[in-house]
Amino acid sequence: MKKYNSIVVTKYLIMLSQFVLFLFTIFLYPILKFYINLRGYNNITINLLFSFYLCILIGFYILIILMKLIKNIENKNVFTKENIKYLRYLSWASFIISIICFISSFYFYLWIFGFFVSFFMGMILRVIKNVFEQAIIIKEENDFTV
Amino acid sequence: MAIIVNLDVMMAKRKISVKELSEKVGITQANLSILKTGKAKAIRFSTLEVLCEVLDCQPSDILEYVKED
Repeated sequence: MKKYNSIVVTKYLIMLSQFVLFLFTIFLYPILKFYINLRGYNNITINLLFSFYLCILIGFYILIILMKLIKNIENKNVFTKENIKYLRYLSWASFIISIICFISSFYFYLWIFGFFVSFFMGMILRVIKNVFEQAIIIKEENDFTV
Repeated sequence: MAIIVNLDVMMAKRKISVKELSEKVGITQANLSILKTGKAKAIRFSTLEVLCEVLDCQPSDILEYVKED
């Protein structure tokens, strides 16, 4: 029962994140405008919008993949090639965001934090993917042990 | 794989079906099929022991090593 509730919570968190990201997409421009007026960074609005919208696009993709992954886990399909594929896509998406953040840091220094966070996230996802790959090998060994 | 499983040969010699052997050994027909068709990656000593007991044979009658080129 505890494991089942945990998966349900994760699913709702993903759905909530999708909703929040959708709201952020709608209200990004006024939020940025407010922040920029506050700080006086008037010449980087377009750049910020471009970087943010790129990251948001990849963010939506990440949330879709996460939902597919959690649904597989809910159906007890944990150590499968499909889930390895999803983890690979998630790590690539994180690395792409890290590249966007790195390039964006040239016009606004705070993006460098996004670069480090997303880069390390990508690395962690890669290691988890490797763990799943080994788990499949062990599972197959176990399944074919008579 | 270098290990050949000659279970079907022993089963034919002892005139025992898959269903009957699986019931006597205590493994599922699916697992027995995995063993018969050479898809098994490992066999437990306990399973091998019961197989030899039921088929009245030695492990070498069931398992054969063939050197791979």
